[in-house]
Amino acid sequence: VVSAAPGRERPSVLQWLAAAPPLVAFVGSVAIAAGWPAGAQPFWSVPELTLSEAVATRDAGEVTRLVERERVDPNRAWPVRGGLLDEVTSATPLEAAVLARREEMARLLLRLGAVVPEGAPRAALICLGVRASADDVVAVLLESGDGSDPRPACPPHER
Amino acid sequence: MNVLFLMDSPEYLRFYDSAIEELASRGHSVALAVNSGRAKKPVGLEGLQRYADRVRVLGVVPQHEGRWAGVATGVRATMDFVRFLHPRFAAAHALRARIKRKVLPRAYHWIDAIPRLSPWLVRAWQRGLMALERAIPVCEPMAALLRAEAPDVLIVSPLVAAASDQVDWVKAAQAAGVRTAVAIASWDNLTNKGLLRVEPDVVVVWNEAQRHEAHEYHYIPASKIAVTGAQLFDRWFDRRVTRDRAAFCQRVGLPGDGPFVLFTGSSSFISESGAEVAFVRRWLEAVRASGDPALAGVNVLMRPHPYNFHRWADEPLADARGVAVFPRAGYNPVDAENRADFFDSLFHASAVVGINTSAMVEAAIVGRPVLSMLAPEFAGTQEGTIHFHHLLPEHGGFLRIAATLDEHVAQLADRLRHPESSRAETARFVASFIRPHGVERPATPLFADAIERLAASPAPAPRRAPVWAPLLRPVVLALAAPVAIANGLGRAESRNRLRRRADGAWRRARKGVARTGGLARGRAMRALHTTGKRWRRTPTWRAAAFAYATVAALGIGYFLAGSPLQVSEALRNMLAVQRTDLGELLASQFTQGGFLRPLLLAQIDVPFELARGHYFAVFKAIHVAQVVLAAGLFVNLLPLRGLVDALAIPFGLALLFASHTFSGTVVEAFPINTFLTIVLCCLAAANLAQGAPSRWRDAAAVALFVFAALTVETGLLVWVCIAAAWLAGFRGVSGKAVAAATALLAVYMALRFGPLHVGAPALVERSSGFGFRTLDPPELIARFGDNPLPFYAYNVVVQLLTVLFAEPKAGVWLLVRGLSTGEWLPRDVLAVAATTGATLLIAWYVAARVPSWRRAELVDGDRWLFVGAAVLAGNAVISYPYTKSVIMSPAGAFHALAATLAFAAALARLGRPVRLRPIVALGVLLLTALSTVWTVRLIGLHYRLREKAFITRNDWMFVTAGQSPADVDVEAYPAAGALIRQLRDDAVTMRVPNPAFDSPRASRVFEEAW
Repeated sequence: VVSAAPGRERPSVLQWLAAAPPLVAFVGSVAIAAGWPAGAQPFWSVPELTLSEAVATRDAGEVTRLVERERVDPNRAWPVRGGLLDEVTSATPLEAAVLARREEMARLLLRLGAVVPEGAPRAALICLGVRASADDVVAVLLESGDGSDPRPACPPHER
Repeated sequence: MNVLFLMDSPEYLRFYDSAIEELASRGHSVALAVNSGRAKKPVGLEGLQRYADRVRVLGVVPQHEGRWAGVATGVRATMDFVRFLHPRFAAAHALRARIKRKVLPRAYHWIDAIPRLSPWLVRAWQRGLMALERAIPVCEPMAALLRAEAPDVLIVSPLVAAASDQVDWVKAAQAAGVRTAVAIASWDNLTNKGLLRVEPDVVVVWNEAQRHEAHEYHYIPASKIAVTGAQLFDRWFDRRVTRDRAAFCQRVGLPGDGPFVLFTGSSSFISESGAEVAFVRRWLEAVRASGDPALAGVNVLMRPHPYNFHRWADEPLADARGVAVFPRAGYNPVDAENRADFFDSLFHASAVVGINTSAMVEAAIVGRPVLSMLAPEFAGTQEGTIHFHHLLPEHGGFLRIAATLDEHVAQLADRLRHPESSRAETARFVASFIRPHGVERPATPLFADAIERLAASPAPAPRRAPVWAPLLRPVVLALAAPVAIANGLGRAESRNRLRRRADGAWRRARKGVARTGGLARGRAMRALHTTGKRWRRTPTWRAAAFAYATVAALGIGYFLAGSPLQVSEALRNMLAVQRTDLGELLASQFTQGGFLRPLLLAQIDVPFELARGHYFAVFKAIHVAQVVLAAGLFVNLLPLRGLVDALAIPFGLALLFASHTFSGTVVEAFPINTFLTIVLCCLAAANLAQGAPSRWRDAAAVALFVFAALTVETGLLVWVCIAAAWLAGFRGVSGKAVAAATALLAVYMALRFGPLHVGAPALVERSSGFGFRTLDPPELIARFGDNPLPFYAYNVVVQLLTVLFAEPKAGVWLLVRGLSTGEWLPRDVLAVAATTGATLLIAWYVAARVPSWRRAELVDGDRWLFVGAAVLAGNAVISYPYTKSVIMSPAGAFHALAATLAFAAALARLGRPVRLRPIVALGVLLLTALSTVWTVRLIGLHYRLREKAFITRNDWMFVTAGQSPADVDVEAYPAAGALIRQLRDDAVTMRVPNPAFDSPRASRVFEEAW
């Protein structure tokens, strides 16, 4: 007959061993959580991102928060930590959207007040998209503004 | 429209004079009142009298007096201080110290020892204090005055003053059924001072930044915030100078009419007058010593703050060349001549310099370059204030800020040479911060429009004190007692009186103890002995098991609360309940094809209505409560006879929470997770069945069945639970109740397939897994349209298998597919190994129990196995139309229950006095491995919740009114637009972790939600 041990029986080492893993995880979690009331975020730490990093990591919520709430300028270059956009260490949010090939982020940025620059910077941005094979993003950039600017001719070696 | 405009003091006239005149010019009757006269400020009560020909001047209104007045001040002061424990205010040392110094009761100064708290705790603390505030009775004389005045709208400003008694007026107005508006006076009000503490009908703010602050830090629902712009600055936009440069320079005492830099003084809190004088001297020396030709001949005009004048009256710069201080004595900022001088000084200035003052904002409106520098003596009142950051370019501001005086001097010289270089920044700031509705649109009419809109809305019903208020009042008084005692001890005569009384009481106590000591000691020892015996009998392991379950469930709740409300389905359901009344909702659910779920939306409608705008808090609280309740009901089903049984609880809860059938109940919510509701109903039915027979259990079981069956189809499993439990020998629910539920089930079926013509879901309803992939409805129809029976049979079988082996998932053979293509993932192996291991453990338990069953020896654990098998079979059959893991969550819960019983039994075996033979070692190894893989899966649930939070937050950023799931005409239903905006704002505000920074291995090990 299989039945549980009566009430006052003390568990053996083997019993503790079998039951230990979830208990250890629980105790560990509680220990880590002890820092939470003091403001620590042990489980869900939120790294501070620049606007361009948020774009590069497809963090649409953070992009919106930074622009709408923190009133971060969506048209200037922001630092980008290494590895997020290969070797790039600074980029405007639109450049980050191009390099990350995120068409929806480009649309979001334009909705939030980012402006596709005019003249040579515009051509450079679009050629950056062509070079990064970000055709969807390039299409969004070409749509923006009054639509009268022709598609710039990117240097052949950049394609 | 009758408007009663209540300002903290007459000095607030400078913020609202244009608004008052606009309201009066529109023909509205405006009455002005103040809470105090503030005799020391230049704008006294006589300032009000200037309006006597156009508006009624009531003067100073009565204050809250009596016992509750002091209590209310203490509660509000504590609320005001607690906000500075928020991490966002970590650098606001000066603000924190000011609130402590000004209002925090001495008895609560210990709070200052807390460096900071997490936002959640600050919010919870403040919410608790707000509840205490609601328990404080309304000041009846105030309500009587409001009833007598009968205003259509009471406008209060600023309400955020430290421990403000204006709160009493808002509460009195709400008690009298008067509409309430709070006007935010200045750009620093929502972050520099106290809390709003109460929720008026509308809060009028300047711009989106303040809207965010009102929502984030003062808990005002977005729908109650009106953005109108800064009406007090309208006067500067179209104004012309009174004097030309030469005349102005002559008036203020500047030599010649050359260019000058204006230094604008700050308030005494920002830069105390003595420190400001010293700083300006240092600044002047740096400017003069620069050697830059642009600065060599520039004059300087120092304009002290009107309320921070006294050290400037000593003419401390009289020896400096090319410098003038103007005005030279304290002045009234509302006075027309002073305003003209102020504008002229901004207009004629080549650049404006300051520490942290509104005049810098006004200079931006006039289009002048504005500069500042960080000074160590003002660190707490520059960067240590939130509002200062609004001026910085990285936050959309215009301020050219320098870290050192040398850097500042260089910047100043550059601005004097190129004044146009700052125009774009200042214009952008003005367009977003001062006139967010367009630079051409003055804010004053918009302010008046907002008040008119409020007056045109239906008058609120007089608000009564909450029913729980009388219960909370003793708590409020108890919390206020230390304040009264501390205040009393502060007086010497009270201290002496108290000391004499304490000495007398101590002498009497010593005599009493000596007389009755023996007797008392004997009684105490006996009581202690009895208590000790009772304590030893208390099943502490049981209490520990429930405590563990609660903490573990709250752990999941923590992650749930860190995710915004879901977009898909949740938003659609909320919009549906918002637009439709409960009766219509119920009726509409009886006419759907394929589904009969009349109570599904009703369960959302009720909390939606009760939430009164706090949708996130209410629906998340429901979700967390559901998880906690599920854990409690689960643990209560387990026979806990000792610590060894209790050791199985962590394993059991890991199975319950980490199972792929359960994860869908926490990863999603619509905004109430119906599947979790059904899991709860099934566990509750099982709990009812295992107790002692009683009529209330019968009634509750039948009611539970009706509720669950009308919520969603898997609710019929409640009948399976109570019927199977009765057959297994549980008698908590009687045979009569089971018969009644069976009869109701027959009625349900008859109605569903008879007169209501609801039938069952067709192939067209949902996508469903089949083989190695998910088929869309058109593919399902193409393959099984003629004969769906093989598909239904497949679904029943795979739903059984998914509970027992975690393969297939949602009808798709993931692991088999992965192994055949070589692209298998560790997470799929882990899931199958863990679930199969649990099933094998159950099989071992069954095999071990068979001899006892042959002798008809049944224990509760055996009966739960039978009930679990019945629920599994019933669940699989009910889900024949399409496959989805979460549908099997009730069966998953009973599978976890059976595995926990088996685990406890295996643990019991290990406790017997056995030698460590190879078979025992293998058993320990297997059990440890099994509990380890389930622990890993449990950690994976956290990972899934975290990922879901990120996805959900991003989903909100792309929600567009008029498109699915926000497919509602917001023109026709403005409230729907407000709801969408509010939920989106909640999501924007909520910070969630970004999975891009997680290890890529995590996604290979931790499962996705199926």
